[in-house]
Amino acid sequence: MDTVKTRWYFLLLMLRLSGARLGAFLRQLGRHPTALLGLVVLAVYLCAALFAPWIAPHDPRQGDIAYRLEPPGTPGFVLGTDHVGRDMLSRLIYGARVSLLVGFVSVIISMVLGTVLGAVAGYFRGWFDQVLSRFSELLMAFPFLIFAIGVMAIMGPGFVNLIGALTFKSWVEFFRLARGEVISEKSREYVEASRASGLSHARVILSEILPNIIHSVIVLATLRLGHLIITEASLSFLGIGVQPGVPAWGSMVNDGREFIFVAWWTSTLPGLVLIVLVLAINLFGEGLRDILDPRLKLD
Amino acid sequence: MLEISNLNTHFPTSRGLVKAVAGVDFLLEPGRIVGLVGESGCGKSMTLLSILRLVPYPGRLSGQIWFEGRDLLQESPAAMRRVRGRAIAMVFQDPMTTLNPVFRVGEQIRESLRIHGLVGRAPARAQREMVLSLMEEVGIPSPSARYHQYPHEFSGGMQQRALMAIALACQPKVLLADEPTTALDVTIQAQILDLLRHINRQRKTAMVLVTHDLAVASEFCHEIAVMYAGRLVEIGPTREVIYHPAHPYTRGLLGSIPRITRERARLSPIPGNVPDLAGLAATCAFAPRCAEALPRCREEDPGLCDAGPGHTARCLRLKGGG
Amino acid sequence: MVPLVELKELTRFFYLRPTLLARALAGQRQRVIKAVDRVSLAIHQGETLGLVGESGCGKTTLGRTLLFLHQPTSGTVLYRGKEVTHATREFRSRAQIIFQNPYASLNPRKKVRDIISVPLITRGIRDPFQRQQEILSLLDRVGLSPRHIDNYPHQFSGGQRQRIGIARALAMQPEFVVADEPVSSLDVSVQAQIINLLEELQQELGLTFLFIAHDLSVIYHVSDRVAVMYLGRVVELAPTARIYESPLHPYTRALLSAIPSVDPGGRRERILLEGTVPTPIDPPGGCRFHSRCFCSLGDVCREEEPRLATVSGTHQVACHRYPGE
Repeated sequence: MDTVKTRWYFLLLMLRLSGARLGAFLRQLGRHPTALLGLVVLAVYLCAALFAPWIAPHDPRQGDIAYRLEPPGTPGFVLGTDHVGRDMLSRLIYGARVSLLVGFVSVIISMVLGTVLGAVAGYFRGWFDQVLSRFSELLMAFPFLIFAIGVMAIMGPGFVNLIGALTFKSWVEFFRLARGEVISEKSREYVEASRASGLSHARVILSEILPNIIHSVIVLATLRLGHLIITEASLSFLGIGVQPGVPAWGSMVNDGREFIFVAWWTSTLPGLVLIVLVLAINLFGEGLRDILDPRLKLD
Repeated sequence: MLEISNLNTHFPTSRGLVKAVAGVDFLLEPGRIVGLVGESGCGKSMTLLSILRLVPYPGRLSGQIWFEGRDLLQESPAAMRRVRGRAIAMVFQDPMTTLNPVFRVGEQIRESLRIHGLVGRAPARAQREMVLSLMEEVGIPSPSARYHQYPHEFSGGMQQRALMAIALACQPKVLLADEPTTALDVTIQAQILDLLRHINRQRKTAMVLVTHDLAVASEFCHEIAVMYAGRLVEIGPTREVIYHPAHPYTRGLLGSIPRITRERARLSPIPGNVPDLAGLAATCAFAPRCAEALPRCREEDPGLCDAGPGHTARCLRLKGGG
Repeated sequence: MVPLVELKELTRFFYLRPTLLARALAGQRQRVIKAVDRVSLAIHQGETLGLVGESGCGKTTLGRTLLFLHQPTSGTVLYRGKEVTHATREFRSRAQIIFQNPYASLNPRKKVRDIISVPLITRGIRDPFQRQQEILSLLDRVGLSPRHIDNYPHQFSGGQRQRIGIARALAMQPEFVVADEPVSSLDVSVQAQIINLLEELQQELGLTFLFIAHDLSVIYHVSDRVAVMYLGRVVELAPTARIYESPLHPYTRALLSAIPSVDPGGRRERILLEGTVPTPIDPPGGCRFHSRCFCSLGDVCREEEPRLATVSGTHQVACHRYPGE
């Protein structure tokens, strides 16, 4: 079998397997209407963010002063305009990109970093575990937002800095979770059995323990996603999030503050959109936890 | 003393009706020890819980349980509470989880006395004395020191003794013991069984001992009742059941136990697995695994047939000529 | 004849180290759990050595330490006369283990196929097709239907899971198997099935077993020789028939007398031991059993620890009453 064919075979196999799993998963999801709702809403946001250039009616950065502070319902501006004449709808759609991008990337990096470090610490214990645990406890002592503000104030606004600040504090949660789960799984007999069958430590962690803890990690990731998105919005609100000019919901809320009595939609709409997204994520996360957990109590 | 008549405990599940206990009848006479023997899932523990009406939701009980002239299944919840722990007491399998870990052992024993109104207005010292004498009776060494200890400071055997002190505090007429020695080492098991025997002789307490260990039942009980898939398949005096087992399942069990005898014969296990209790038909539940099954066995429900003096078994082969 | 497996003064201690804070504030000292304390045994090819004892005696730890699942604190393990210092791939392929708990010893997230693939891959079988053939033949040998290959552990009964565990151990084609209470969590009728299976496999494949159990009837049935452990030491070692007919060590005698027997004729005079099974944490000096012994010789038992000595031929006891050679 040449490698190309092998790769296709492998890909198809993966798709089929994940397809089968996906089918079962969706059926389970069907029993949790709130979770399903959350997922649908999230999917809508994702599509909006993905296809922004095609669906946004206007350029989010270009504003026409002639049309400043138009209320929602004005022809051509479904959700109104802000104080420099920029279309609210387009800005909201592009804002989704920022929130989702920052949110997902931060969560994924925290998840991977935290889980790997936690697994290694939990499995091998010793000085590595001690050092990392103490360090993580130190980090946890800082209130999240203050910490993020501090970092961003020093580093300056921007995507990368933002993601860095969020990740730096978030990985700790995954670290503690993974570490705890690995410590408890490690003493289980099937792990001993795999060692007796000749597996190296690395393979034991990767192929035996990790599949058993991944569900908790995923649930945590889903729940943290909402929190990180809100934090990003908070930072942008304070002006130390994304670069000025990039449409982000937090900064939109801030921009609209002065005009809140004359043009409520400039501040309120971004806030609303944010709430709905985070609510959807949380509903989905809760449902996910219910789906993944009892399936684990398989005996 | 305790007469159980056509006891049924049913659980409606998504897979069908699970008859955890199906049509069980037996008689417990005063001062006698009956062993309820069977493998996991056969319904023996559920039978004990049914007697005290402690069956978890959504279980439904039917039948009759006659005790002291009253049918326990018809009694009000208040009346049942007076029976539980007082007239009929129960000892469970794992003492570590049955004892409350945050209260001292002496307190837990005293609580049993208090709940059932046996101490009334007696001063604290008198109550303590009662507890200490109970602890002595069940063989807990240095009772006055142990009174103030917590369950985790007791060993497994002593925890079980403490549980028995709680159970015996109110001088029950019947003691239900659900696998009291399964979690214990064999030397401790011997001690506990010795204690139970002593209690049975001294206080004339009737007992129902649930166990999966036929050897324990054989040594300890006056009568043995064998259960399979929720039904009582054989019941009779111990010697009768052990030496002249009437039901093929009992014979199979006896054949699969390794014994310490001169020759080491090969074990003859029962082929197959225990059936799923959901939606079981009324015919003989053991037929699919029975080496002596007749075609009739899959169609008819064998009732309890005579197999000797005081000895019955649920097998069609015993009904006149096979 | 060089024994297949030989243990010389094998020791495994667990150290309970209190944290700095506990040591400073509460004066907690380091404590030692002497789980296995200088055990010397020889296991011959083709035999089944039964290892019996109550909870805390160290039999489970011994089984795992000799397979290097725990690193020994001291002592040596010899395989076919050659010292083994750590688990090499070769050692793993010769010596395997079957676990007690069929529910915990299989990874709940893996299919049977994947569970049994692990040892096969270690053995070097890279081709998935060949692996599948091996797996199917192993399943057949342990009495499981081939259609179960893609099922998950929770879909099986306890007895079936234990069979999967046995198949996994056999996948490495071992010569020596440590069976750690393989039937203790099973129902009586299933127990009998598994015991028969293990006996058949031993005959067919010429396996050597270290059979660890607490059920003396099972040990009697399967073992050629029996070693009795108490608090980390072997107190008696003899061929099965001898030990059950004429046990010498007081603990063995008490243990045997405590076994309930189905057959009323086979009952012994019950010796009831005082007190409870002590823990192996910081055991007292002298004979470990002396605090519960009903025929202690007094001072010597309290102060000096008896060695395992040969009393007659193949019968060894560690008791001051039988000094032996």
